[in-house]
Amino acid sequence: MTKSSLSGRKRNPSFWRSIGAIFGKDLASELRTRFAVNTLLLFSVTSLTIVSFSTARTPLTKEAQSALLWIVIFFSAMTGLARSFVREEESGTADALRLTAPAESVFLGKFAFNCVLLLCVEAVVVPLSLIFWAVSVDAPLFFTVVLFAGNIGLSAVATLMAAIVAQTSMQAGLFAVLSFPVLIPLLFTAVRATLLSMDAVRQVGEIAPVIRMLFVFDIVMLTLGFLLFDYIWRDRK
Amino acid sequence: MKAWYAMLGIWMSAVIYEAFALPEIRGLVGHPIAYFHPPIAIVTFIAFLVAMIHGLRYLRWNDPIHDVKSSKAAEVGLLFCFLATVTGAMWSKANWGTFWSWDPKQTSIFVVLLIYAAYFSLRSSTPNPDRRHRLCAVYTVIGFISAVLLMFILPRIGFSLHPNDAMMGGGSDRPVRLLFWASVLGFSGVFAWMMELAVKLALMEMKIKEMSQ
Amino acid sequence: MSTSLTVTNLCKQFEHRVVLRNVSFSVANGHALVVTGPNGSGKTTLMRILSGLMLPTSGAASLEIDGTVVDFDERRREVGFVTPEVHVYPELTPVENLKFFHTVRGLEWDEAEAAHWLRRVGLDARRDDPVGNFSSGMKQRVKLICALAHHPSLLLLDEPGANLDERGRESLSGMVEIQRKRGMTIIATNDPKELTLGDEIVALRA
Ligand SMILES: Nc1ncnc2c1ncn2[C@@H]1O[C@H](COP(=O)(O)OP(=O)(O)OP(=O)(O)O)[C@@H](O)[C@H]1O
Ligand SMILES: [Mg+2]
Repeated sequence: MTKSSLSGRKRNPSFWRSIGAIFGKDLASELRTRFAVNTLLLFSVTSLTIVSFSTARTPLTKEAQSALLWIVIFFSAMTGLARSFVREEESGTADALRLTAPAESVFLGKFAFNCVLLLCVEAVVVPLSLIFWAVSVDAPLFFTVVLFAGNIGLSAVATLMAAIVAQTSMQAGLFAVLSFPVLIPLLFTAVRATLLSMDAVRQVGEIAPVIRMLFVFDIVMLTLGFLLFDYIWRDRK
Repeated sequence: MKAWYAMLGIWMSAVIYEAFALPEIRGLVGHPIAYFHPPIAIVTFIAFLVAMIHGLRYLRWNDPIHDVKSSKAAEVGLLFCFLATVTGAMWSKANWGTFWSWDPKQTSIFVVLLIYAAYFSLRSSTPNPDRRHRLCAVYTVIGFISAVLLMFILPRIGFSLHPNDAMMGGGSDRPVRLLFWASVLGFSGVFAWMMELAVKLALMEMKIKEMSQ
Repeated sequence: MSTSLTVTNLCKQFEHRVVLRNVSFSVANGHALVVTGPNGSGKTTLMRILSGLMLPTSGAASLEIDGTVVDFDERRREVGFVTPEVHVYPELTPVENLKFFHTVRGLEWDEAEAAHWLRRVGLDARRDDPVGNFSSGMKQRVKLICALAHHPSLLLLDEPGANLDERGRESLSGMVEIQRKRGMTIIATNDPKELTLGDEIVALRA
């Protein structure tokens, strides 16, 4: 116990292979059951439609558009990203994973899988919202970078919180409650950055610092997850 | 110990008296609350820092005493946080005419309130005690870091900044600054005292439970 | 290679219920130990502690290989564990399960060996079906080979005969015989037929 897995071991190729194996296993299960991706996509399209429909008569400001976009992405994430851990605990495979895989590989493997799930959501939500709201994105490159950076931070926090709520007694409700406040710095920044990337008159000098903040959040949360995941994952008693 | 409590009482009475007695500062409306709100907000962050430190100690040593301390610091911190939100709204009303102005500090305090409200719902929905201690300790760390990130990020993404740093720095007169820091010290004392009481009470409850089994 | 497991004064307490009190025994290379005891006597708890999934309240269980103690990180390669509450992945096929557990343990994957194991437990006809569709005895067989295929030094079998038919039990005792050649086996059971699998018996009291 005293020798924590945080100690600086050499990362050999088998470490990366185990991450790949966990990612591949989740992907294979998902492709067979399609549970998470269906929930995610249905939820995101439904909520997007409701928002667009109820605001069809009143043109949305760019502020409202970028905020709504991230609200839809956030809540979609909250419906599906806890799935992989909750299922692991429910079907009694979590202990098998604890016995055989290094904790860090579990974190990174699940993180990668959640990133891909969220990418699927964004691949549907973003084009649809651009069409529904007739948004013009003036800096498409920045816009993509913002989505990408937001995706990483959102997945990192969601992976940590999913591992936590999978061990509690009220998984579904708690997931969003725990994740939201921790994600606020990311969401505020992402909304701001999205707004800037939609606006033609903005200069690189104004967008770059905001995007840097997004990456600061990503790096901090990934590091924190990497360091703390073992404590979430394994019983100490 | 008793002498400390007595001193704390006298100290806080003096701070409160002075806060009302000092003449109003130029450019800073909502006068006496200015000596209470920022110190309470500072102590809120100290409380959550203490909660995180005890959380980390729990993760290191696995001793439930650290969980008791961590959770009680968060509990008292939540009370301070609530007070900070309310006094903040009052001050905002006096200064800028609205109860809520989403300036970075007000926003941060509100988000901290959310984080620790979430912390307590996590506590109440984890029946297994060892698990509860472990998961909650981790959440105090993630929550605190996130709050710090928020304070770091907000001013840098173009949130408008209200000049309410006037009192801590050099901008104001000596007595004002003195009273400000005296108030911070006093509220820190109040926090330490409340936390100690809460921890004592929790330990007694644990003992009673143990004896009745 | 010499391996040994030494359990000294192991105690486990859940809140105020003492489950294991001063359990001590040791197992040497090539030996098999049977742990028995009435329901609720702590067999599964003991096995979980030996596997590393759970920590004892006091006392120690140390697995040594060539004189050095194996820590938790290395245990994943040295221990195989079958227990009723821990399952393999229902969406994956037996081969995929084998491959997955092999890879996360950091071991090289050998297709031919997987085929060999599947044949041993009579599942080669169902190698491409997801395990979720299997009968409970077939699932038990998959769990057994997932715990065995990496040649563990310490094999922990908690109620290994659960749901197995006559042929399944035969191949189980065959596996225990193979395991004797490369390490230690501990079997927790109440089944009189399985008591004969070990050389020694440790009885836990309720
Ligand atoms: N996580 C836990 N929390 C609290 N009590 C537990 C926990 N796990 C086991 N116990 C208790 O420990 C005791 C022993 O349980 P265990 O599962 O080890 O028994 P067993 O010998 O395997 O029984 P069986 O023959 O029925 O499989 C039981 O009284 C059980 O209630
Ligand atoms: Mg049992």
